[in-house]
Amino acid sequence: MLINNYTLHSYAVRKYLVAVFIGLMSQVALSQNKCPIRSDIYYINGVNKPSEWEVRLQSNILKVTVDKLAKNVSGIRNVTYLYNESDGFLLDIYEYAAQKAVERNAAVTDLFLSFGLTALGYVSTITDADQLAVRQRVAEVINRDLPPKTQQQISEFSERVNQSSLSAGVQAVLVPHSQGNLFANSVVDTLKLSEPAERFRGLGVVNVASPTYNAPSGLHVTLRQDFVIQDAALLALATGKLPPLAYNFDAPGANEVDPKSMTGHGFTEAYLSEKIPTGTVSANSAAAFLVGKIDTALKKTSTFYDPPSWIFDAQGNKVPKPPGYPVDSTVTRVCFPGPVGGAI
Amino acid sequence: MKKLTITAMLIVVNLLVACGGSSAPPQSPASATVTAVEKINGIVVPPDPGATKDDTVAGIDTDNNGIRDEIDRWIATQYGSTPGTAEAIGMLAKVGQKLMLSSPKTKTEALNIAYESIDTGGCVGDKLMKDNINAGSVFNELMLRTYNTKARINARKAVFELAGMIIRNVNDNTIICPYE
Repeated sequence: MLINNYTLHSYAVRKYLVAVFIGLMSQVALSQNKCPIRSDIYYINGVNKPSEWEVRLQSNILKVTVDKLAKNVSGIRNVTYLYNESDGFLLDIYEYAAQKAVERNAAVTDLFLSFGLTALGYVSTITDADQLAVRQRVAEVINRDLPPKTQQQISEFSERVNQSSLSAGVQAVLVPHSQGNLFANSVVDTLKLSEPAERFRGLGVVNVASPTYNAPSGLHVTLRQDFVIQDAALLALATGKLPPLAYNFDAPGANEVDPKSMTGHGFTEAYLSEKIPTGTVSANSAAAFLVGKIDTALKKTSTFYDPPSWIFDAQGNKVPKPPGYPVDSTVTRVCFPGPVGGAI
Repeated sequence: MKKLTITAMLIVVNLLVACGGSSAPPQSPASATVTAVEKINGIVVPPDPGATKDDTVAGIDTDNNGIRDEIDRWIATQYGSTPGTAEAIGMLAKVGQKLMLSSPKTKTEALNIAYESIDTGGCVGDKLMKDNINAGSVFNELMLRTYNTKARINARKAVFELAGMIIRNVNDNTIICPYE
């Protein structure tokens, strides 16, 4: 009893306990500072998604899937989508249908619907030859160069990724699908040129169903069963272009998950499907394989807190930050640098 | 006898008038309702708009529910047998038509209708997925049916051109989703 009283009330012991408490709290604070509190994933849709509805739903599904399957995404997982009205896909298909309609003296709208549905992977009443022609047309569309207007959008989007994520010390992973890959790769090129290497290390890309040959982070997912990319490869061969990235995931049944999604190219239908049985790789679904790539991108990227050296003045102009300007407490943290060169 | 004859004639005249015996066609409210109502999968649908359905951007919407008649009929035919699904797809069809006819004048107006459409897509998509329906297929088909002429495609394109590139977090929302 005497010993207990002595132990509990001794000034020295209390001092020791306080020191231990402070030490523990410091460790907690330090560990919070060391790790990213947020990971930003940017989904960039492909040209074959004419619907803003679907882009929103795909982003919802991507968020749910990442939350469920990702192992290295710590803290808040933000999914941001870019909706870029498909520049001409619908019109392109429409014009193609119109041309065919004139040839056959048929109703344009009927053919448009039929061709549009086929292009999106639906079973259609048009002939096999026409279905093949439509797929090849889609392959042409996703392979073509980005229009000039898009260059402005690439700058705008790059600025957004930089301001919202990279310069705030947050890792960012771009997840483009189909033609969105051309856009995403250009965003990477833009940021690589404009940003310091330390900040650029926070950026990664996982190229999904890419019609291009370039994977800036060395991370891509292409299904063996993706007919659209197969057509794009044939087209590249025929026109002397470099072929798209080779398939790296065998998903038998990718074209049969839904009888109406037979292209094997859909972002959610094929690439985010958890139902597709695996073929040759260890991950047990296309979704797990894709999220695994996002995980890898986050492992490879690294960020550091790099607050901007400017502030906005009362008139909204950027002015140099005065000495002693208080640190923004909402983003104050330090993330240790990752491997040299980062993900890119 | 004369009185009786006059009375009988009056009754006949009354009956003729009551039965529409004049030059105007018969207008029984009950029979008009019976002939106008058509149901597909138990859902009341507007009449088939016929060949003129694509003559204007707005198309034909005889029941004024914000959805073109041929699309109302398609929804009832394809999804009318699944309770709740037809209503959800109707919500999407309505916002698609609204966007097409919105003719926004400013970027803010364009963004407002674009956000409403986007968020309705997220709401209805989640509902369809819960119902084990391939939302992507429904979206694509409805999109192609809604924007099935060059004029309609251009009307939609004009909205998104004015709105510009949209960068948005999945947690942002502008509508109250009835299915959450």
